[in-house]
Amino acid sequence: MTAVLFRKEWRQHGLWFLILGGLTLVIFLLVVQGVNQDGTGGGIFFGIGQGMTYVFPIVVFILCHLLVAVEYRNKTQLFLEGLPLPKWKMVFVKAFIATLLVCLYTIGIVLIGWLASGGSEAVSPRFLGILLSTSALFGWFITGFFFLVAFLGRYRIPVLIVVFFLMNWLVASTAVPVGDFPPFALIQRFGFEREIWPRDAMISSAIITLLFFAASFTLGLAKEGSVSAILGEKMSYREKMFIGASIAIGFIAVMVWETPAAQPFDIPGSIAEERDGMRVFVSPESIPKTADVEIQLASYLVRELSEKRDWLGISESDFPPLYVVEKTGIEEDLIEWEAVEGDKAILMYADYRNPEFNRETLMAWSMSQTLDTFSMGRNGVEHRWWIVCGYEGLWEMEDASPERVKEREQLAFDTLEEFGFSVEQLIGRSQYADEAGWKEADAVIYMGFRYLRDKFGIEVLQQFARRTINRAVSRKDGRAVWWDLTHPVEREFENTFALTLEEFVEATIKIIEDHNTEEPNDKEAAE
Amino acid sequence: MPLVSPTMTSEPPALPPQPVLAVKQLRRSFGRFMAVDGLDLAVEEGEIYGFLGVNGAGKTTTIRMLMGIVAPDSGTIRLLGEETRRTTLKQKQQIGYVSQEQAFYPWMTAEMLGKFVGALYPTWDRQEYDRLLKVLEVPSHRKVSGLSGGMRVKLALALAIAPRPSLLILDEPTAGLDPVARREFLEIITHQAREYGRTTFFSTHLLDEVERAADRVGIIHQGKMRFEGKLTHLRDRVRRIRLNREAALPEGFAMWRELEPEAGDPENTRTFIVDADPSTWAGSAMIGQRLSLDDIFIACVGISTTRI
Repeated sequence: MTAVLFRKEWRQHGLWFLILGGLTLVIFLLVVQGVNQDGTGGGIFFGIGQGMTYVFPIVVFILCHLLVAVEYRNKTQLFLEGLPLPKWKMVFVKAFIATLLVCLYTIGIVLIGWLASGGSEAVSPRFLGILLSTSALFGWFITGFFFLVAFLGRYRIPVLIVVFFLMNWLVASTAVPVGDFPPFALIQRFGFEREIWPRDAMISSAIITLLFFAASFTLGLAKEGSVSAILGEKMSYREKMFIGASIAIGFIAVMVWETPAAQPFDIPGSIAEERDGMRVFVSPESIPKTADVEIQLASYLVRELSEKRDWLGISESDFPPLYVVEKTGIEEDLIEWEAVEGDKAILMYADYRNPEFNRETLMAWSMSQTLDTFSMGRNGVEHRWWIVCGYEGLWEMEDASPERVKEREQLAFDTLEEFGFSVEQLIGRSQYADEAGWKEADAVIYMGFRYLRDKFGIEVLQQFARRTINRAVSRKDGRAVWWDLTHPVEREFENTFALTLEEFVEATIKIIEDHNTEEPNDKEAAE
Repeated sequence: MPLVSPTMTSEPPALPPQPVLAVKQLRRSFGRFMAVDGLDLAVEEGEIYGFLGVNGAGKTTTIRMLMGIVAPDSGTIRLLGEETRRTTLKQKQQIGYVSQEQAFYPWMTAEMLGKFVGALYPTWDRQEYDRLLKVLEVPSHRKVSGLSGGMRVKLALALAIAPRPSLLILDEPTAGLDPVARREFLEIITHQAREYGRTTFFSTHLLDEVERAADRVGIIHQGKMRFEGKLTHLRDRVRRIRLNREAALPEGFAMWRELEPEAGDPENTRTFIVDADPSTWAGSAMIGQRLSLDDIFIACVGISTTRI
C-alpha cells in the first residue's frame, strides 16, 4: 500500500523532482562562482550558507507545493479519500519524500561547493560532517515549515508573505537576535565552524521541525474531503483584495514608522584621531563643555591600537577604523559592542565618563573585535578564539595595578576550583564561558598567556600571534584557508613553544594554583 | 397423525437478515447549515436502493459519511455487519465507490489506475477489470485527460466493480451522461445486482432511473428522509382526492399537500394529495386518482415523513 503511494508520487512529480534538484545545483554553482569571483562572502561555504538562507527556501516551497497543495487544488484528494487508504499514510509518504529529497539536495549542494572550490577550502572529515549535518538539518527545518504551510489551503500565500516581511523587519530593524534562533544558528557560521558540533542548535532544530510535521499531520488528517472545503483552496476575489491591501498597508506603515538607525560614519560631534593610518572616533552622548575626555581617550586608543596592529604585522589597509560612542547605563563592564553592516568599522559603546570605566579594557576588547572582524569571523570561531582572548588579557592587564592583577589571579583560581580547566575547555571556549562566565574564562586564559610571556618572552609570543591570528581573510583569497589546513593551530603552538596543548593547560593550572593568594589558614579564618 | 408437524422444527426461527447498510439518526452540519438532519435508512442485502432527492437535499453528504470521507456530527452507521462511527479501512475494501466527480489523476491511463487502485484491494480481480474496460469500451492506454466525461464514469464503475465488492455505493453516477450511456450504466448495475447479488446504493435526482433500476427508494429532502419503501407501494398509497370545502379528511388518511385550484375544478371543492394504507383505500368510499411518480415526488418533498 505504501509502495504504491511512493510510486504514484514519483510518477506524478518525478520529473519535477529532478528538475528542482538540477536547478538547485546550478543555482548554487552560480553562487559559488560569484563568491569566487566577486567575493560576496567569506569563502565558498559561506556563500553556500547565504544561498541556503535566501535561495533554498524557494526550492523547498515549490517542492511542498507540488506534494501537498497540488493534490488539494486538483481535487485528486477526493479520489484518494474514496479509496481504502489511511489518511495518515498519504501524509506520511509526502513528508518522507520531501525530507528525503531535501536531504539529497543539501548533500549535493555541499559536495558541489567542495568540488567547485577546487580544493581551496580545507575540508577535514569532521568539517565535512558538520557541514552536511547542519545543512541537512536546516533543510529539514525549512521543509517542515513549508510542508505545514502547504496544508493551510488558501491562506498559505498570505501567511508566507507575512512571515517573509516579519523576518525581514526583525533582521533589518530590530535587535532581535534572529541568527540565534536554533535553525538559523545552524548556518550562521556555515563554513566557519570546523571543529565544534552545534549540538544545542541541532537538537532544538530537530524538535522544532518535528513539531512542524506533527502540526502538518494534524491538519492533514483533519482537513475535510468535501468539495466545498477543497474549493476553499482558492481565495475569492474579495479575500485577495483584502489581504493584498492589508499587506500593502502594513508594509507602508512599517516603512514610515521605522526610522533607520544612524550609521557610525555620520556621528555628529565626534573627536577623531589618526596615527599611521589608524583612525579612532570618539563621540559623546551629548555635546560637552570641553572635549578633553574624548581627546584623551581617542589619543590613547589610536596610539595603542596602531602599536598593536604593527606588533601583529597587520597592514594598515586591513585594519578597520574604531568608533567609540558614549552610552550611559551599560551594566556590565560599562562596554558594549555592535556589529556594523559590511564590517567596515568597529563600533564600541562605552560609559567612559563613569569613574569605574577602564580604558585598557576598552582597548583590549576593541583589538579582539578587530581581529574577529577583519578575519571575517574566522578568529572568532574554529579554535582561534582562545588565542585572541589570551592576547586580549595580556593587553588589558599590561599596565594594570597590582591590586587588579591580584584580583584577576584570584578569579582565575576560583574558576579553576569550581569548573576545572582542560584542553576541551580551552578550545571550546564559548561553552566554557557559558558555563563559568566570560570574565572567569578570560581570567584563566590570561594566566596561561602570562605564563607563556614570562617563560618564552614577548618575541616568541609575537611570533605565535603572527602565525595564527593576524591573517586578514580576503573575500577573494582562499590562501588563508590553505594555511589553516597545512598549519593547524595545535602544531603552530607546539612548534612555537615546544609544548603540546595538554602541557600548556597543565602549566596554566599550575601557575594559577601557585598564584593563589589565599592561604588555607586564611580561608579557614574567613569561614 | 405425526406427533410433530412436518412444518415444525426444534430449531428456533431464523432471525431476519441484518441490513447491509443502515444509518440511524445521522446528522451533519456545515457551520449553520444542517446538511443531514436525523437521517434513518436501511438497505437490504442484494437489493438496489435508489436514494432520491433534489439538488442540495443531502445525498452526497450522506454518501461521504458512509464512505468515511466526512465525519458525522452524531448518529451511527452500520456497514457490512459492523457498527462504526466512521467507516474503517476493512469496510472500505469491501465497498466499490463511484463519486460524483471523477477526480482521477489526469496523467494516469486506465491501466495505471487499475494497478494503483488494485494494489489497495485484496479482492481485486484484474481480469474482471480488463473485461469491464472492454465491455464499457474504455481505452486502457489513453490518459484520463483524454477521456470524455462518460468514459470517465464508466472507468469509475469498472474500478468500483473490479474488487468484487459486497456493496456498491454510487453518487449520482449518471450525471453528465447521455441517455444511451445512462441506460447502459443502469443495465450494468442491475445486472451486477441480479447476477452477483451485489447490494447497490445509488443516489440520483432523476426519477426514471429509480423507476428503472431500484427495488426500494429513499426520498431525502432538506437532510431528512421523507419516504422509504417500494415504489409500487408508494403509488398504491399516495393518490389525489377532491373533497367538499367543508368536508374533513377521513380517518386513516394523511394529507401530504393541498393543491392549488385549477380552471375547471368544481366550485366549493379542495384537492389534496393524501397518503393511506392500500387496505384503507380499498375499504373507503373515496376514489383516489393514482399519480405519476413525478407528482408524488414533488408532493413528497413538501411534507413530513412517511415510511412503509
